[in-house]
Amino acid sequence: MNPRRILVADDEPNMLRVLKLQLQRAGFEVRTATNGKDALEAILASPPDVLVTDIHMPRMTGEQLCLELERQVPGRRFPIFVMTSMTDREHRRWTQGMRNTEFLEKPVSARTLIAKVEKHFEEPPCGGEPADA
Amino acid sequence: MRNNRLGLAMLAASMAAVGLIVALLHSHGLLAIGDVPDIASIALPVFLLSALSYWMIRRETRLLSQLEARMEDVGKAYGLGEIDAGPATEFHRFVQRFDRFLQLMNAKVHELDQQGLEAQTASRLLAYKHEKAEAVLDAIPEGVLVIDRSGVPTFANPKVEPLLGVSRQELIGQPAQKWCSDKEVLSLLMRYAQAIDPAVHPAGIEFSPAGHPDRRTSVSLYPLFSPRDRATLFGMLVVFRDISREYLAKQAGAEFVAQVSHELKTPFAVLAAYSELLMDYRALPEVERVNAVNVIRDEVERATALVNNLLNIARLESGTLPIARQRVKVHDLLRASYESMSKNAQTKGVVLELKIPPDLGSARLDKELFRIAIDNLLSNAIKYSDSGGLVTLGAEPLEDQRMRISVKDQGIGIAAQDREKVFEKYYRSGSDEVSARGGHGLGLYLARQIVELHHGTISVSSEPGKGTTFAVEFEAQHARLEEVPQA
Repeated sequence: MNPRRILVADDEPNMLRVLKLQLQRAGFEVRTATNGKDALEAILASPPDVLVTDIHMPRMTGEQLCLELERQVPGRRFPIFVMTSMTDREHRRWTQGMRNTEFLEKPVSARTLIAKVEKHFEEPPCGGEPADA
Repeated sequence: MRNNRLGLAMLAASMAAVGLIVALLHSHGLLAIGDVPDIASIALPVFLLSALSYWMIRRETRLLSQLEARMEDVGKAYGLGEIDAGPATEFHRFVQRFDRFLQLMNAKVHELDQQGLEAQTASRLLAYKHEKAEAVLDAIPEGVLVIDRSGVPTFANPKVEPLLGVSRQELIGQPAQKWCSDKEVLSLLMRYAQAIDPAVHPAGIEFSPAGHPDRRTSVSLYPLFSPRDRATLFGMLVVFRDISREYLAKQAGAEFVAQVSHELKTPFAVLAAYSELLMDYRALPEVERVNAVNVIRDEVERATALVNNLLNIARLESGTLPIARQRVKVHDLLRASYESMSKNAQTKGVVLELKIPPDLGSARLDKELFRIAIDNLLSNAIKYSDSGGLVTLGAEPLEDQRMRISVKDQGIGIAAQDREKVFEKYYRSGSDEVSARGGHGLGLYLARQIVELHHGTISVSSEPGKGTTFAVEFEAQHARLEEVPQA
């Protein structure tokens, strides 16, 4: 089986580094991006199995990235995990009607993230199925 | 016509008189009238002419009698009194009455003149009071509008014009629908215009004038009751106030809270993630363990710096930050700042350089506060420098016991439109390059506050893409601040 590929987008280098390390240790192949624009380019070039993204990012926010993916990748099969905090609740409205998208409450625990991703591979959320499963 | 008749009567009377005289002269033999047959032939026409004259004179003098009767009536009405009875002839009485009538009229005219003058003065006074009241209303910094019960303005001061975007001419006497473009304001005005219950209460809303989303105006309504009858509502006082500044400050405050909460949460999220990583430290390679510990220390420092800046600003703004000025060796102060920031620079791959003449001398400063200002300038320069960039902390004495401290970097620079704003509280440039480097818009604001507290100035010069220099100038021996004994 090919390693499951995760793309993590976060502008915080320390956060990116620790998530990458933890996910690698859990057996994922991890790519990283420090802004939404780079993440979008990476996805369009080669879609991952899972996208984990922060919201506050320069050049293209996580919200813009998700909306752009809805537009440019209509049959998106990979799930998106959006890392957000309680105070970002108003930012959640834009995901209405967006399938296969889930929020991860900050501070994000790598264990929780890995558990959620693993669960997704076992039983994909309604309306989507894991890519290359 | 009347004059002609009077003239005719006079002519007849004259002729009668001439006839009579001729007759008299003739009878006395003083006049010889050869052609006159006899005295009778003269006397008859004279008599007839006299009767005619008398009749005509009476007819004409009737008008005088009527006039006299009227004068008498007017005289009675004004208490002129009766004319003395006596031997006076009718004509004499008329003249008397006419004279008194003239006096009365004269007095009346004088009285009316007085009254007219008083009325004029009162009217001027009233106009002056009115103008004064309007001048007071005009001088009020808020827009003031008085509307009647039907919602039609009866008064508007000039400040209303820019706030509503309409001239006063367009307002006065016009129904609200004609000049009020904001639906909410219109609905508020109409609610009061149509209110039957006079127990209306002051009310207010805020709105942005059409086409000016960046501006904010508050509208407050106050009921106007009749001064004689407190139960009678005669209109509403509408006060418009430009609250754009407060609104922007509120918005900036809200953005600040969002920004600060993000800035505060980020180090804690990183701390949580790395401590979770370290829970399984036995399975971690040595390099990752060392890195995790370093990250934790850096993030704690980052959170502490932000919290300290926030607290210092709060204390500065509330005036509870004690200022302790003392003689400080500027060289030592800058060296301490340089050393504390070296680690930060090293982590980012930025070269930090200290360029201070050894004989820089001392200055009267609040050591702790001034350190915060310099630290903030340095951390700012390091933040906006790229790896390999050079940050120079320099200082030089100026004339008149003044001193200049500069922090120069080779970083991303500041766009011209952002240059003056960088010292504003919460201000952060919207550019991608700035957004990519976390910040909260407090460091430079705090630095300026501290420098100004020392009666100094802070300035910035920059070239985008080339670098930025912040310069602090102050009087080294200035002792106006509260002084404490040297520590």
